[in-house]
Amino acid sequence: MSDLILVGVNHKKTPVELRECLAFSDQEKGPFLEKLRSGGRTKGAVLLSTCNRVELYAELADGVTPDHLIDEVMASREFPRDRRDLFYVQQRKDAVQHLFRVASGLDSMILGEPQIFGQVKDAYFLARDAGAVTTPLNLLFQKAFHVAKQVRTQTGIGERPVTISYAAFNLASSIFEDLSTKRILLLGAGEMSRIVGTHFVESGVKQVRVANRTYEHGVEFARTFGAEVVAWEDFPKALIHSDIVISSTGAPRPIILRPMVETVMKLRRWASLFLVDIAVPRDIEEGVGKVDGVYLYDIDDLQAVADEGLAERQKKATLAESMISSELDLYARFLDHQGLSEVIGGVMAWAGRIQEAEMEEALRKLGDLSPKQQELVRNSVRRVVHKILHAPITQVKRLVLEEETANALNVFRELFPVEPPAETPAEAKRSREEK
Amino acid sequence: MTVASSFTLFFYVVAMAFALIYGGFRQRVLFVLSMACAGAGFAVQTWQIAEVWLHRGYPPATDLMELFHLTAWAMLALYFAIYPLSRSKILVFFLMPLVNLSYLLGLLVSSHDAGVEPKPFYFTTWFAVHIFLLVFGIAFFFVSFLYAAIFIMQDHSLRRRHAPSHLPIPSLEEAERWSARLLLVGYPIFSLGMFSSILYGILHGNRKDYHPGVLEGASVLAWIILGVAGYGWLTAKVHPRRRSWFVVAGAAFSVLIILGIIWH
Repeated sequence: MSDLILVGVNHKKTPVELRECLAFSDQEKGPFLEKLRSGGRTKGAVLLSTCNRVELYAELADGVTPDHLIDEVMASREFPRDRRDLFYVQQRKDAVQHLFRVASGLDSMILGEPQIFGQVKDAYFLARDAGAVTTPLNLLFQKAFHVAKQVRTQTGIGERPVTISYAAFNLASSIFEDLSTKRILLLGAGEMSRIVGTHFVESGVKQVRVANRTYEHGVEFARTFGAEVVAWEDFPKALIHSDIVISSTGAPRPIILRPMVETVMKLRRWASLFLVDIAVPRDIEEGVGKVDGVYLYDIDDLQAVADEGLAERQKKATLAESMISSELDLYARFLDHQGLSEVIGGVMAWAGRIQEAEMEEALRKLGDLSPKQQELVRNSVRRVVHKILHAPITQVKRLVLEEETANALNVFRELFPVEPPAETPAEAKRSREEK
Repeated sequence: MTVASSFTLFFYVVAMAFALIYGGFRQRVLFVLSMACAGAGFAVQTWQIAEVWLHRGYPPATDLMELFHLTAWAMLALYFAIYPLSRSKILVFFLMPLVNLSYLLGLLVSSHDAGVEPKPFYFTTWFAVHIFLLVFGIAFFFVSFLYAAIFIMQDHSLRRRHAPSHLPIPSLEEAERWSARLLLVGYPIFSLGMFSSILYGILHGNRKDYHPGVLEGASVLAWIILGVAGYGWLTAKVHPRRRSWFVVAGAAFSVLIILGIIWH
């Protein structure tokens, strides 16, 4: 692990037009990692490529420097040669800390956003499938996932909304039990309407309708969501059957007035109605918010909710940083005990080989199984192996790192007589392919 | 205070402590600990109720202390019964203080006077049916009241246009639905409890001796108010916020029913 290195660019220094030059698609990642390994640059690597960052976590081969890796990345993309200064390099403990922060969302453009955790996981699995994850990298990423989960559950950093669209969604979740069954009406076909509407649709809202003054424009806009189009004159009627209304028209005066909403609410039998007015000037009369069962938020209200959420996340980020710091110390001690990481890595690889062999055998004996059934068998076997190994590995880590029990590692070796150097399943797969 | 009461109180207080901490930290383990302690207290109290019942020959619900204790027990029983359906962990944050309050109030008021001759009515099946229907009806009202209070809190927070509450409280829709369900199930149970007593009075009592007091007055008021709330829910003619306030008022009168025992 002493050769762990991170090279990359992110949103903090690198503008989007340069970040997109470096972006890797999922199809490109595997061959690139393979090229690094076969070219003798790395022993293994994981490539994380998202819209905000491109980072390569690698275990360097002997004699290779971080500059070599930057050269490789730049050579594989059309990246301006004179912007090499945008790359950052971090080694060992700094690289580990960086990964922990990234996976926990502390290094994200939107502090604490949850998507990055899934993206790091995807990057890891993709590298693993490409046979590019070595035992030290495997241990590092498993630890990073564990830390990120701890940070999320213990600090709740991602809970409060920090964007207008997320704020609207969050408020809707406080009103309605199951948003997927709710009906949404988009008034106007503006950009903000599209952003907020997209957030709802991506979060599971299925029934979307669009009403726009220009019908043709509305049809085009509705296609984005696979939505139904309502004639502009009919939108007051559509309010009766809508639960969430997002209004963003360019009307100079309010288009939704209090008497209209009072009538609508009676016809709705007082079922809650969430109105989001993101137009300036506003589309919905202020008094509408006073009608029973109507929850009206304008753009300033949503911004205030988002600001409140950001302040809350910043507070929680301080706690998250201290959690990462203590986890990092523990991990550094783990790395200092080279023997421990080797033994654990060896046991995991040994178990992985048994697991793969048994799985193949079982699948062969079971005969014709659908891909879903095969996946079920594979997952079950994996879970059994992980669950069996979890307790002894946790115990030996605790004994060695926390209680400094001298012979714990020897006892562990005796219990799991693995012949070093162990081959990871990925390495085994590669060997088989080479043969 | 008996040993069993002390154990019950201990478990309920610890369960409440875990429930309150759970509200702040939202760690599943705290909820599990709270449920485990509440379950232990509930088991001890159930055993205690059964033992007294067998010993006396009638249910321990003839004085204020016993009625408060039985109400605490019924509320917990109801929560355990509805949890698999509602999955509302945060409700324990609101419920446990109410259970503790009911149990503690019971300890603060006078206990059963062993010297007083029990009425013949106590030994009849009518009494057991009447008491359990009434107490479970009240428990339904109290848990419905908790959901109604959550609805009012959530509605208030949304109307102030602030960020949603720090507590992971149920959505308006969920709070309203559960409040309505519990009210609509509890109302017939409570009504049967009331009418079973009246029916017994008609069949076996002397009507000239009947002098309605606070107990009867509060019962009828709670019955009418909660009936209006239930009617509002069934017909959707009353706005959810007003319906929730009716439930809160009805629950307040339900407390008077228990207090009415003092004058009874």
